[in-house]
Amino acid sequence: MRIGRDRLSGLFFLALCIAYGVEAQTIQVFWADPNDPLTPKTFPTALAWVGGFIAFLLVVSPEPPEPSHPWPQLKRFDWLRVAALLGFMVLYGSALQRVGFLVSSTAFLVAGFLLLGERRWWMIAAASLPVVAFFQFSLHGVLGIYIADPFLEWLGVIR
Amino acid sequence: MSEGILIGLSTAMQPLNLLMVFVGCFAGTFIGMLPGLGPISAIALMIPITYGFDPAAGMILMAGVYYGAVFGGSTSSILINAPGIAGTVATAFEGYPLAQRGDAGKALAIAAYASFAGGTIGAVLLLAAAPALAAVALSFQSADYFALMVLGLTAVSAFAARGQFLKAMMMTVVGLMLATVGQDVSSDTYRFTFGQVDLLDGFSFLLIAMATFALSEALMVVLRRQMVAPEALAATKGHMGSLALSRGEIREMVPAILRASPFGFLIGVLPGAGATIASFLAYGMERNVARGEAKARFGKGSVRGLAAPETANNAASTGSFVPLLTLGIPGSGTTAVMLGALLSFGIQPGPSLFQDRPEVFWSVIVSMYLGNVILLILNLPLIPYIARLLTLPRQILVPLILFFSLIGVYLVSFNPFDIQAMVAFAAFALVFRLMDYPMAPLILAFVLGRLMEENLRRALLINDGSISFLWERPICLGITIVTIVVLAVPIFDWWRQRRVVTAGEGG
Repeated sequence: MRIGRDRLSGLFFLALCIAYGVEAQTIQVFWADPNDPLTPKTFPTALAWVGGFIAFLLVVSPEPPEPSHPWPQLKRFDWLRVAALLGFMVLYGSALQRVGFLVSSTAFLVAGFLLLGERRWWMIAAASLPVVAFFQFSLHGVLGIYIADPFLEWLGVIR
Repeated sequence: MSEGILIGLSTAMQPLNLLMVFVGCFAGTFIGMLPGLGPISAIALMIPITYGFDPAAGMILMAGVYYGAVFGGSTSSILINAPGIAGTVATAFEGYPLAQRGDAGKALAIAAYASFAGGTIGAVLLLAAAPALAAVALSFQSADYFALMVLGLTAVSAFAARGQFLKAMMMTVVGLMLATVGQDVSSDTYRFTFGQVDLLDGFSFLLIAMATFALSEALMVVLRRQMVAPEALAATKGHMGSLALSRGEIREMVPAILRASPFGFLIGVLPGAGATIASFLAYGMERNVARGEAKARFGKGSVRGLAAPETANNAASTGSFVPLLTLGIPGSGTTAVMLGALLSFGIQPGPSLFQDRPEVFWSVIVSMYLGNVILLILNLPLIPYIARLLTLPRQILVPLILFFSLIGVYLVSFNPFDIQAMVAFAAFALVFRLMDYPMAPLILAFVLGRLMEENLRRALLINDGSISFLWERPICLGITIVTIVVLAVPIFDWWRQRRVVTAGEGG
């Protein structure tokens, strides 16, 4: 039996459904109403069974015909840049409240532009800080939505 | 009904709401033109902007974005053979050959007229169908709603691309699983929170929609190295040709439009079908109807072959609002995002929306028609200029899309955990997109998950814990039979395919 992407993903979902089903059994049920036909556990348990059955079908289904190498196109994909962008997003999420919206957002945009190959400094400058500053001004000044920004607070621009 | 139309007209014609239609159509056209980004991403990106808006204005903006995105998808299909959305893939079959022979302007004009006609006829049909269905739906009970939701989720999987049925079903279950995270709907019990405070409220629908669509689609552009296509540069620098149509072309186009409009609308009303299936079926139908020379022109730039899918996808987009507005049950990924948006405005769509908030109900319907008018009179003449947006560097656009997606979700909760969760879901969506798992069933199931559980609980309580309501109530029985039929077709297809492949492997 050849393990291709469909079977591999089926195995992943089978494991996920088993884990979900096991976790579902730990849900606390307060029997305040013994006549309640649907406890907080019922629906997740049913989902685990249905999901497990579908995942099982995915595993036993025949794989679609594939060329000798399983995923030849994967090599042509730009995995490195995508991984770096995902990393930037995680960092951005971590920095947002510590550093502040203006600095972290501008840094995220500049890093993204540079990573994707933009080298024109005027373009990088025009599409980062002014966009973020305008957005923050619109949030604060127009929509009345306050985003905490330790850097601007330190500068005394916002209080 | 005339009173309702007047309410809708007076709401939609307010200067602010007219501006919303205009901005929505323009933004939608722009986002829809970008290959990879579809209407779900376009609408999801608009949701944070509409916080604080009047619900009618917010929904009008999103309806405009929807239309604009479908139209924008046609533009990139015709000009560079790169459909922005799945619903306009069939448009490229005839639109691109027309553009290649120097008639890009004509192809865009046909697409615009066909979209306008499809949207207009669809809006008229919606005017008639929605109140009628809403009146019927008033007699629906929890059991019927539960059965309808099961039908919707089954149908969206059954209508997935060939060979994707099991994968779509799997994504549906994953969507339902995600909906169970957080506090239980009717008790104080927390489920799947793993002691994390951040998970107590569950995941917001915007987080899931943005991560699985806007973020993962933008990342896919980078992954596939889809920067600026050389065809885009060539198409936007080249001459578009005349926008005028000859009398013969109009004669060829009109019957195709008249056939495809009601057909597309009906397909759109069906849960799970939507614009993509409508456009492919309309194209196939037109090719079967054509005879002689007209048939020979298919694949080489046929006018009716372009008009039919364009009409059908717009009529279907309108039709897909029928179950959303009257039953509160979305039939597609796009309308699921709209349902999420309506719920965030504090509005529960359904038959009572028609009575409780007529201004929202009717203004959305009227604004759809206005959206079509705006697309025709504004976008068509501006197309040569709008098309230049296709050449905007992706290295600038992608980080901006990522930024607005992340911050859009952050602004709802002000919790950085949501950003980290989005990144995780986007990575998940990216990997499973590569394995041909469709994401629309996931978002539809996520939005319906809690409603489904709640309706099932109520139905069981009324019925003493028995699921016999599924065959005892006539409405439920009808819906259950349709569900079984819808489910049986792909299962039979899967079984036949399995037999063929197993026989091949065996011998």
